[in-house]
Amino acid sequence: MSWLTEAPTHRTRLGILARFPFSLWFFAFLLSGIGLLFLHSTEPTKPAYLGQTYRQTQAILFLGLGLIPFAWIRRRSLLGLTPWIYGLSLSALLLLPFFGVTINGARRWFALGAATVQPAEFAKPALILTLAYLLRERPSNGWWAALILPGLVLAGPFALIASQPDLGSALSLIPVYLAISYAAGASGRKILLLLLLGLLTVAALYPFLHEYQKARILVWLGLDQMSGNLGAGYHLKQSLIAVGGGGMFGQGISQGAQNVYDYLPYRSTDFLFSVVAEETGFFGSSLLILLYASLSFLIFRKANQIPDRFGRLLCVGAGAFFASHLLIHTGVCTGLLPPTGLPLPLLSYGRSSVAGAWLCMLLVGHACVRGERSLAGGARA
Amino acid sequence: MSSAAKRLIVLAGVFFLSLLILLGRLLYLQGFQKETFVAKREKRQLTWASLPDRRGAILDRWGDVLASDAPGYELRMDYRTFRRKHPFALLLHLDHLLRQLGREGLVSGKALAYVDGLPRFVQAAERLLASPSSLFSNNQSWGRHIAEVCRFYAFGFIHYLFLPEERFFRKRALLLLDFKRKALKGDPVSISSFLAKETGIPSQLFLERIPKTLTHWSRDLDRLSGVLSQSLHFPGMPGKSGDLRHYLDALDAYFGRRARSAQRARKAQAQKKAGASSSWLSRVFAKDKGSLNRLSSLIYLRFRIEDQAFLVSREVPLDPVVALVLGKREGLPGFVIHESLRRIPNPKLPWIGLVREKAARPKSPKILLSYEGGKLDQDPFDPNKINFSDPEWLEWKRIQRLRALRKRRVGVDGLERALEPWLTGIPGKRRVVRDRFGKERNQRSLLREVPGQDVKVSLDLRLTTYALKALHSALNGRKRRLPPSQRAAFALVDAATGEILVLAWIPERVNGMRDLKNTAAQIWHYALLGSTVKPFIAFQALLTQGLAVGEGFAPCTGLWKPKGDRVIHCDGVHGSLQYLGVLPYSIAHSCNVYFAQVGERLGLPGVAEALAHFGLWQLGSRYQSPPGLLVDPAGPVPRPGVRGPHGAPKPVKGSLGSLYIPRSPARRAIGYGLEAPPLAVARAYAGLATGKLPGLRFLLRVGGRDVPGLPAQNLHLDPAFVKEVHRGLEGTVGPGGTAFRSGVGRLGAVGKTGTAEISRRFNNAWFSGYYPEKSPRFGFSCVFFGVPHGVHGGDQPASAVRIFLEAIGKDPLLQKRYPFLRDPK
Repeated sequence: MSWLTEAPTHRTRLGILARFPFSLWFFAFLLSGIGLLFLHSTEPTKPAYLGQTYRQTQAILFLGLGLIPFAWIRRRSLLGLTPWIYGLSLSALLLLPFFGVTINGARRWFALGAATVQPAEFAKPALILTLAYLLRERPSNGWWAALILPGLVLAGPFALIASQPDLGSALSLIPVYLAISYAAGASGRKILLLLLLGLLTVAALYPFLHEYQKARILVWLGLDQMSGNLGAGYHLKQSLIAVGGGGMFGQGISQGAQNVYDYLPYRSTDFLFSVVAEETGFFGSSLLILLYASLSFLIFRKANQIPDRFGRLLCVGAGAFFASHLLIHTGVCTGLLPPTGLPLPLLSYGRSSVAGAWLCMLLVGHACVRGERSLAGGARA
Repeated sequence: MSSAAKRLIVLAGVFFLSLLILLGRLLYLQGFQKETFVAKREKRQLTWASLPDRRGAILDRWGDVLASDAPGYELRMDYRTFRRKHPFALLLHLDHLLRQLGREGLVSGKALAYVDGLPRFVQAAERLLASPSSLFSNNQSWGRHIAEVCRFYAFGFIHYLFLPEERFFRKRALLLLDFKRKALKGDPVSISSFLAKETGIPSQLFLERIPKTLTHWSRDLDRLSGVLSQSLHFPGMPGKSGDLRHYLDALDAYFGRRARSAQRARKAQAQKKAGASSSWLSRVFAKDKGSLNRLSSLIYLRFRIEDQAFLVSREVPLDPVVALVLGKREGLPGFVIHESLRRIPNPKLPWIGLVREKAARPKSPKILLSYEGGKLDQDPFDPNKINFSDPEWLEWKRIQRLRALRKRRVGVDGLERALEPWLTGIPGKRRVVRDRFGKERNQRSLLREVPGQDVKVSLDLRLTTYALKALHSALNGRKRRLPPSQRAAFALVDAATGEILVLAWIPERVNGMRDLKNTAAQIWHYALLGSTVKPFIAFQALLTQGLAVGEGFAPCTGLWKPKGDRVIHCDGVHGSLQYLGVLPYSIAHSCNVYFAQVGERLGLPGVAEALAHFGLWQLGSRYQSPPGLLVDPAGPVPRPGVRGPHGAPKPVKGSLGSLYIPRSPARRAIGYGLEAPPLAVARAYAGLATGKLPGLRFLLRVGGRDVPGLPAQNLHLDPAFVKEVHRGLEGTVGPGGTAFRSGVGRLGAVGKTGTAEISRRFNNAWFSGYYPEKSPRFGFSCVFFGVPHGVHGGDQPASAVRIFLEAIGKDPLLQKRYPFLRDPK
């Protein structure tokens, strides 16, 4: 992976504008464009989906272009704002049980007129920012500084999001936390130990899970045939049929039977990858995965090129954010993971999700633009 | 390389490895498992739809339609959808489920049924909303699956409680109705309070909506019920009609029975496997741990069995139903209208056009007979020898399902059944894609149907209609009025060509319903002939004894005792019969004493020869029903021996007493123990009239090709003998004759009456002959079966012939078709 560790060539000669990661933005827009294509593919099949492509396009253009100037925010200002941003996101999550609206049995949204806002999506960039802020000073290998303190920062949003209930979004925070902690210097062994403890905890907490969550796990493990046909396993079954039925070359855009004939649930959000796999086959879906993974790899590469520690951790967090969402979303669609609702950032429908993704991109942009001038990230690893 | 860079490489490596696993999984699913998933997808999405083949039309000799296919609509019902989406069904099934669980149902007393009135459903709904929400929580001892099903019914009902148009109200209520996610807590709070708490809608409002909403749903059911009241196809009960609610109850019971039967079968199968399988269902069936498991598996099996559209009605008037079924999205869930072809019978001849659907299932799995791996040479159905996961077996199952789809409409009886090879086409099929809600979205392939051939028969619809009217009119005879259920038949053949012009009988319906088992029995079942045979016996006597027949006969004193037989009675006392001219007189008065003596002289072979000459005696074979078709050369073929009214063998010691000798030629000569169908008698009289026994012809054209008739058989009758017998027949309808009072003689017809005792209380009353008497064109036979003692052939049967001849003589169209009707005499 020499490309990942190569020294940057445009270090100081070019202006501040040149340091903006246009290539990453290009990738993000490319992925968003692909997402719009498949959102459009889902539109004619269900009246509820009509207009989604238009609204998503608006959101992408507004956020993708509108957030660029914010990349030049002063590092000091951003550091100063970080605790407030974290507090704000935590407050929003805390207020959700009281002022949120319930849709499909979960209270995850605030209603703002006709639109809804999902605070969990904003909590993700806020968490990245906060963890980077917390670990920006110096490398640490100790339990407290490297894992427990960041873990406490994670625990708040994690618990609040999981209680909505939105276990998928909550779980997607963990890879971000672990990646930032590891990049900040936490020991790999300790992280593995922590993962093991986490798994044991999940096993111990199994009786306290919601019924539908238990049912999904049982169906995923193949232990519950009845629910697999009737209820909890329906999503997984239909998704696997869509993915598997796509074959090597797919059925063609807007031609996927599971999509067009309305069998695939939540296909514009939580199961968008299944639509892609069904309509473009193995080659198309692999290409999408590689493109998406390239975005993450490029962000990791940027992380290596950024001299200051805060900026690097921001990039690692953002890279882990995209990577974890890719793995969880596609893992669910392909049956590698138990069914859970998690959109694929930049592609799936949802303006909150789009906002969260572009805010992560903004963090990367900021890290690139303000990396060298930063005074706060003095210690170099 | 710095430590940070190394760590980044590790992170990227972990990500890369995860990607490899993901891509491997994708390759496995899309590259290696594609066929499996495509098969699963197609199993759910692709279905075969049958394209009905147009059945050939049946036309009469003048081209009038007797029966034809017309495009129509049939209503089918997916009961599973109905059960899941109609509030009545949801309440009913919840009530049944609670009772099966040993709880008190939603209503007191007997279980809820569709046929129950609205108040009972309102009561059930109020009881449901007043129930504690904890009743449906997983903490119950019912098990998770059953609790889930209970919640499904309960919240499903609340979901559909709100009228579709009241969207805002409904939307707020819908937020909590996802039963999969709402695992209720064990709160003792009632469901209405729970709803009020969750939605902010006052619980009183929920209760107020119950009567309003249920009335709305009930009204739709009642409207459809009104439209379908006469045409419902009750499961397993053909011909039954009634209320749609009765129908729904019957359908519910039907699926319940099938599910229980399937459960028994699977349990037996699972026990055979001795618990080797580890699937959940197999474990449940094999171990049969308790009633809950049984109930759980029953729910599961029923869910699968109900996955088929069930025929509700084949004759749906589209206009009234379209508003109910197609016009509303949620008015009547599960009801779907299909285009179809309906057999439209001519209302005047309802016995033509009776068809039913029959699935063309393969009789034997031929594909398995060539199956080598399983050694199926002895018993291809032995489950121990069949590998049920074998692709060949699965292929056979698939073919079996496809063939079952290719339903054919076959004639139930009569002409429809007899003409089956020509009328039936080959049904087509098309493969359609259905969406998740069962709506047809696309068509993949199409195999066009092959229509059946039109058939033109020799019947004259107009003549047949007059015959039917005449039979009905004759029921109200002068002497004795007969009940409307009286059976009677009328057959008329063209004396020259043998073409069957009239086949009519009554009643067409028994108790208001078609008699599906015996639609045309009256026209081609064997009936005891009685004196109808006397003209044929007379011919034989003339042949053997010349015109001096009767010389040395004992005079008729009203009774006569043959040797070794009991006494034969004669209705009239004819005194000393003169030798010359005694035969016509005896025919006219139907003198039993005279013909018994003729019989004694002829002997049994002579009697048989007399009848065989006119096609009324043929040993060793039975008449093929229906008569007069291509393969039917000889017409009526009675067998010796006494037979019951429907041809069943009877013991010799019948109702006529122990002294009766069945093989007595004297008794045979007066018609005892001789049977023939009415059509055969009409043909015999046509032969008597023309001297040539015509070959019966029924089919004129099939699919544009002419069907030749059979040649007539020359009887080589001596004109003097013919004249003698004709005088007798004239006398029958003339003054003093047995049929004089009917007045049929005035119209130019001659014939012979016959009254055959079929028991001590009932007779068969005949009147058979030809028309017009001078140059006969029609041979006819009219019979009233099983009339009470005292009714004779000269009463209702002869009257029916008179009414018929009067009517056709006045019809200008028939006069045009048959010019001799203008001046028959």
